[in-house]
Amino acid sequence: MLLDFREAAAPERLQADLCIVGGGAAGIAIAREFIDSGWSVILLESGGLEPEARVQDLHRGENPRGDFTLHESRFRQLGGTTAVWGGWCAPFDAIDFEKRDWVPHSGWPITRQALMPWYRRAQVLCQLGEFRYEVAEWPGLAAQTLGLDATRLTHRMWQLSPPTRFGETYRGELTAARNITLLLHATATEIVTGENARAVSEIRIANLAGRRGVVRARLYVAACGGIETPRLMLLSRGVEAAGLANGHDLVGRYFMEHPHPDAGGVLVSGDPGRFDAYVRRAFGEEGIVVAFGPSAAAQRRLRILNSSVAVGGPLRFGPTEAWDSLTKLARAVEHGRWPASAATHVGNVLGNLDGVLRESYRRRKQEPVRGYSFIARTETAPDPANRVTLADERDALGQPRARLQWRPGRAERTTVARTMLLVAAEFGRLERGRIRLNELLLEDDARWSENLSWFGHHMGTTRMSETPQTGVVNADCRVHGLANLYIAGSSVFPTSGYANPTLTLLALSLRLADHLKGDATL
Amino acid sequence: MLPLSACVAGLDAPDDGERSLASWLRRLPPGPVAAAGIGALYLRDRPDEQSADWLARRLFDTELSRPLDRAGFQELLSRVVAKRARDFLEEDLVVVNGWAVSRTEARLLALIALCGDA
Repeated sequence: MLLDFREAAAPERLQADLCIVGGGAAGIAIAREFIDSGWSVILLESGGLEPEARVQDLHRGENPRGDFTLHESRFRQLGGTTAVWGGWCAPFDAIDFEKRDWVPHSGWPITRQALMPWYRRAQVLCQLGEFRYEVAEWPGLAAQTLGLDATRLTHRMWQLSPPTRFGETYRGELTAARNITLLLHATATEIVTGENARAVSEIRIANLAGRRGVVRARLYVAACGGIETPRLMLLSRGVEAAGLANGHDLVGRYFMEHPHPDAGGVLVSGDPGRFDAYVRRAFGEEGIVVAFGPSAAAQRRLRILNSSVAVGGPLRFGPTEAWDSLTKLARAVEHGRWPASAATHVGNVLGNLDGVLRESYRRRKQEPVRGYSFIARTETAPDPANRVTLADERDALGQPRARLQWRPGRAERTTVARTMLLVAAEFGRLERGRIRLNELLLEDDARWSENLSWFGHHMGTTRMSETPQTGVVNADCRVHGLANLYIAGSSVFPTSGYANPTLTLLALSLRLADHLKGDATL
Repeated sequence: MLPLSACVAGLDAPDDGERSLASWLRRLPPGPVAAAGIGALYLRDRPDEQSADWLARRLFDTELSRPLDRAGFQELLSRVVAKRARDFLEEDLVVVNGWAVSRTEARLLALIALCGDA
């Protein structure tokens, strides 16, 4: 059933077995699991079926670093940010779940192996083929890739979703289901608990026309994303001034993203066609990306984070910072968003006009490809100082906006630089070319961190842990200390890996749905 | 820009009779000579390696002035190729002007730079 809270037909008081806050990928994945289940489910979505500027403005917040704007890196409409995502899917590596003594605050209370059944189901949700993320699982692909020394460098693989727009793709079955109520334009403003703050009693909702209401359920799932979920908990101060389940001051901390630095490039030896498998982003009819990354053994040996290096574009002259900067500026013009470091990039271009002109001339003359640029993406170290808090400024509903304070630093820069050196060692060993590192990788942490690209992968702010002293939710994604509140989404990730978060957050959401179905309280 | 020919794979033994290692290095084709800039940058950061004789001994296990025939050059080159392969295996790389090259390659380019100056 589809209701719109802007219309009088939608009641101001609703009741169900399960209330899901947030109609993005996680919320939709859970709601679908309950179709025709005998459960009554309410799925609350702050936006509508299409983007709306006033609703989107509720996402506006403060990010003093200025490297990305909060309201342009996530989306309020049915389907959430899948309305704009690129569809890159990959599971986290086994090591991403492990406690690593060189990565403070690492370690999940579950393993990759334990999550595998749900990874396979998440694959279907993203309209992907078989769960195959090893080169060897694709007949014929191994012969087209480099024979890497797997003790130090391994292949990374993504499968490319169409990309699935969850709002468009799954709206029909959700609205057709008699036991599911999809309520649009209903923004959750507070999670209310009883006086002892041991269980949620209701969720308060509002819309931009001033209408307010409440939803009561036996179980609740907050699925609002890596910034809005902690914000909603911090806004829920009816019993505890510090916010809901925030007795240990952990809600909003450990924010993580995936820095995407221009990492440099390769000048290839021999036929550039040998790199087709890394360039074409398809294998047969299926979209895949093949890239490189440090093996688990190399991560342990070098004490670095996880990361990946993928081929960017072809080069006719060779890798230079100037061309990387020109590419970044061109992307900024295309998307109408200037990076905070635009002046640096303009300086890079002007400082090496010779390289830029040679590359441009050779492209114009369609001279042969001599190399490729590389784009890295790296895990961010979980750091409690990187956090979401509440700002002084309020949104149109009168709620304090989100404020993000964070800074990627040495661990991330070192990881990318070391990964590039591993790539260089392997390309040299195999006689496939020489690597040039983008010189920003070799500079100081602050300057490097000002020159990164971001893709809206907000993670870690309600992290999963075995104890309430070290995290916000337990291994079942239930909020520590609350009997009936769960969290779905990338905010529960204790570490971020290098892989795009969607497949993992979907796997966790499907696992949570199964857990809820088995809940003995119903 | 680093010409790949500057790396060892692009070097070849002289085919016009006996000459010294130093004279061979001085007469290398334009690619490696252009790459001597990389060698100069490497030397700038490693003042302890600024001796051509020291570099020659490290790279070729021989003296710069020693006369060599074609077979002798080929043996030296294969020795350097083996050193370079070991560098990549052992991740003994140096970054010069952004380029991640094997230590042996960097030293060879440094030696080319020093011989060019001579």
